Amino acid sequence: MATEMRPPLIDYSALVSGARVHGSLYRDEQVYQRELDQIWHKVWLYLCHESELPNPGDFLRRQMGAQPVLVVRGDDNAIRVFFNRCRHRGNLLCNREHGNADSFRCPYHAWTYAKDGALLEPTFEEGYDNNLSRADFGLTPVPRQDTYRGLVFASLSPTGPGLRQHLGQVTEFIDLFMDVSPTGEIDLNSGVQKLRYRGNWKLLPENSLEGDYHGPFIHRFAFEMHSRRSGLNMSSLYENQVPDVIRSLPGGHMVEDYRGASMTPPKRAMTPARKAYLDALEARYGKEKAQQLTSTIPPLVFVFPNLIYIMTHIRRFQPINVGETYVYYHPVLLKGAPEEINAARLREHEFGFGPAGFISPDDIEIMERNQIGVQARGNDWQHIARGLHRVRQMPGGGTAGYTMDENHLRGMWQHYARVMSGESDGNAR
Amino acid sequence: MDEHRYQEWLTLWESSDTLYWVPCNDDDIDPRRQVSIIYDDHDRLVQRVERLLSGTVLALQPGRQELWAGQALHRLRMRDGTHRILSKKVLLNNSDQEIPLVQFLI
Repeated sequence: MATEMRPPLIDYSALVSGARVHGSLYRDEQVYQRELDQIWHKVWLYLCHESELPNPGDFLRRQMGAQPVLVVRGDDNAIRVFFNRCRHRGNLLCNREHGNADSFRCPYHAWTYAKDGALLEPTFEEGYDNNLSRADFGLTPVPRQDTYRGLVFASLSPTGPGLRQHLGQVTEFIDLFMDVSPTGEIDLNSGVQKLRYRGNWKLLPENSLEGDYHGPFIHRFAFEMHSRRSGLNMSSLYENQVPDVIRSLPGGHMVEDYRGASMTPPKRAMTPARKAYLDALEARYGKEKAQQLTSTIPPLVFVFPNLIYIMTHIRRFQPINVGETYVYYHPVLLKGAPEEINAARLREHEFGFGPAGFISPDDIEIMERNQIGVQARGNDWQHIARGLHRVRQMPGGGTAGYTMDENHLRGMWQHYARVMSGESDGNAR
Repeated sequence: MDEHRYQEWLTLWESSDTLYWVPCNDDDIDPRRQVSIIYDDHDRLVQRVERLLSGTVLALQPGRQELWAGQALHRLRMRDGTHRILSKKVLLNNSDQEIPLVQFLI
């Protein structure tokens, strides 16, 4: 009698336990395959923003885990997400990363599809005894897609919580960074910096929402430069640790919420363009809300599993394999803001972020070193207990901690463990 | 440049109105509307050199040997009988691909 060889089942609730995370979660191939099944091929993934496809015929290639998809704006203005696969013999239908097309022709045998996915032309139709039903061979849409504030998400699972349910409380924070636009809309049509690092994808969300903690260490030059210019005493960051800044939210999301904090955005010169921008905000929101929006640092946001918002940009990322990740930095411009304001935002983004910024490269380098470090098996546990004694359970779910606490990581990892073990369908709870 | 004599390299530049530019995604983009990998005026270029020489850059402790392909376009200005660099534009072959971090001047 043949026995089927299976790898032993992994108990994820043992690997993510209290304030410890096991190193195998960053390096094990079996874990990676399970992540594809449970996370990348099930949970809502961020694909793009509507502003990246302004015109009918505009298209983008994206990856959902291991699966290539094509995002297209149709003549009816609707955005559709299809599997990027020809219905004939599975070739990659569209090879170009982005562009505008009237139709999509497979390079192999020239099967041609319309922007709404309909099969226009299968070539040499008489070879099917004129029996090929075109309606049966249109492009396959992904099981679910939905949008929030112009952010296009899709899921490869036909069932499960809807997008709003998945996002849960994080919508409040998405709103905060979107609302700094005088029309309430951001514009992601200003190009994208593309970067790759030799490290597991989970290192990136772990790294991205703790600038105040690791910043003075790994970004020393940039922090000292900022300190000299603004007069801010760096040690005050540690003395004035502020409660309720670091948040985990149900659904695996994380936020750095600066609304209660004393840190303020950098002072900016009151040019005519800036005055016009502030006037436009006041016209839209009234004096009080406009004041709030411009006097606080917008939140840093992580939407599980693949979307980050930090100050100047939206950061989208995807795993390539267990030890390699691609990252995309899309600068966020503001619709309705003067061109000068948006040009300044681009310059500000270029200063810190992307492959040659003064900040991102240190994060990339430290993550690559982390991937090497976790190959060592001795005491194979990450310690994420910081702030455990003072964590606050929030009434709506999730936790709040002080600057530099690690409660947000504990929240993300606990959600991860539930999704990986199949206990959770990804529902924000 | 090949010998990392960055401070000396800076003295080859004009002291204002300069541009050190590495476009992103495409060679000819409008920098007022499109992001670049590097878009340095003189002050930023000076800071960039300072950062590379500061000893605090993790990726340079020590650095790795890397190969980058592209084209460098210099515009020069004659001043007091010598040429000074007014701008340098680097057209990276990989500016539209996923690249590792760029921690040296190119």
